[in-house]
Amino acid sequence: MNKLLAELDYAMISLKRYKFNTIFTIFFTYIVFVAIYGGGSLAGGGLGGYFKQNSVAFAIGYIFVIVVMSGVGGFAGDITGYAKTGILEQLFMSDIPFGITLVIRNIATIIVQFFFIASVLLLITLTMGIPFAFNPLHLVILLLSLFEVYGLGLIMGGIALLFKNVSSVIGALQFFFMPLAFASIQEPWLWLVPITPGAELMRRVSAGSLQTTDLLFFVLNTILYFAIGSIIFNICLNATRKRGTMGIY
Amino acid sequence: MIRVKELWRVYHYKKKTVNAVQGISFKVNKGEIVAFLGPNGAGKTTTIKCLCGIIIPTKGEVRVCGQDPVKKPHKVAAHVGAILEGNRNINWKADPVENIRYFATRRGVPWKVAKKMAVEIVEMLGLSEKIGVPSEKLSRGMQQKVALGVALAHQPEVLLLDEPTLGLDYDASRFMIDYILKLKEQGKAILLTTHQLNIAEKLADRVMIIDRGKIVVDKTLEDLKKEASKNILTLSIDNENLDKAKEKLQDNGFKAEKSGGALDVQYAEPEQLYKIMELLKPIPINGLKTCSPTLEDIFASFKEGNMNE
Repeated sequence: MNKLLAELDYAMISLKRYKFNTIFTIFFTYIVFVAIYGGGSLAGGGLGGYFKQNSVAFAIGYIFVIVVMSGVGGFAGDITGYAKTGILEQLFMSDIPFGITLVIRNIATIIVQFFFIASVLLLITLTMGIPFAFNPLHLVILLLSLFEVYGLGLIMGGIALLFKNVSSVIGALQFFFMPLAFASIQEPWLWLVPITPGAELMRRVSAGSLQTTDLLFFVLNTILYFAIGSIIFNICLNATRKRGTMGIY
Repeated sequence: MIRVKELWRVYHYKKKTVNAVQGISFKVNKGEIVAFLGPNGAGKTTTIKCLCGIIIPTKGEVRVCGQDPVKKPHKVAAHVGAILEGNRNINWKADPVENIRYFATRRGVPWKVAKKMAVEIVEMLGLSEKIGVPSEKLSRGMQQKVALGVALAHQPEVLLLDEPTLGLDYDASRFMIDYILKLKEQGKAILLTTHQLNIAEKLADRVMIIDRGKIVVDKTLEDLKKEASKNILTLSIDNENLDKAKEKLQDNGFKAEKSGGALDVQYAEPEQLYKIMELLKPIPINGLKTCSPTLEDIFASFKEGNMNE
């Protein structure tokens, strides 16, 4: 708990110190949605009608795009930033294993991201007239989704540790993962892919068709990706220590 | 507190093999400051990073407070404070208090205690006026002080300081030196690398010189100065007698050289001064002075020696 408090404090430092940037990011994310959704729904013919009919699904898809962007790229970006500023080695020197400190750090980041995404979602539903029937389960699924995507983030972070500048790879992967936010589960194997189950469950909660087994599959999916992410990150970390390149950028 | 035995670190880069550290062994005890000197690329930073567990050695054994940094780097981190890259080792967006309380908590200090302690450390470092100022806006000296605060916050028994005074002005260097000496009095084991030999001379109980991955010297500063045998006696003698005096001394095994209107004579022990005077009798001596070698002289002589090998 001590460590989580410290990480939350640390995560809030930039947000507090650079308030303008924080507010602008929320506002910008909202404006992009307004531009895409507003533009689409005003279009003539069937397109405008399609956007209006599927507004909740579209809003959820958009939220998951933000989740993908922050989860997949955020952590690797952090690792690259730490290596650049020389702080990575100090972070490594912790009284509990580095992998665990990063999990705690991710929880803090997830909590902060959760409030950020919830703010954007609230703005969207209030101002765009999207009938998003809020249910506490939405929050549970959003939190689990963040954990799942941060599992992918740990893999990216491990790769960033080994290869330092991986921004091009991350950019490409973010685009690769984005369609998953809009896909629906029509085949059982899709429960195994990342992102799609979370977005699908959000839609099922909105439609009132969520089943307990759905949630169970999703929890397993989340644990799986977070565990895979943690294992790969630790492998990459030890490889970096063997190569002696942790602080090098 | 620190025990290193036969430490090797080999790097492979583009089909080249670099032996950064070659089988070095040393100890640092409680309440001792050891200066780790050597030219760039000699293996100082690699050794320090092996002590922290940041780099895994190719071979050899390292123990810090009885813990193995290869297998359990987190157990070592609880006992060690380190400045690894000078002022680069802190979060530049955070102010001094935020930096110290964060890293203290990461190393096992309870959050509430860390909050209180961070303010106290910042006051002690003379940075109270900088609370609320992001570290990126502080001077290099102040950033270095924050890095020291970060290294000390969890009250470690061992301090690893890689170039702690690099780039600091006189006041900041003075502060850092005094502070490190205070830490020694508290019983901390301190290993510091530096290029500033005058700093090492002010701080070190023992000096280790590493060159091309091997420790070529590991002695107390006092022994090192004795062994360097380069105490110099400068004699002011009239020009017409200079050659005669030089000859007499050289005939008796002393190294003597003319330096302007004076004669520089090397001697190993202070007792030899009597013999020098005896040999020079009755040549008139107008004045004399003695000087001991600085660490810089010693370091230079070892470098010369190594290069000649």
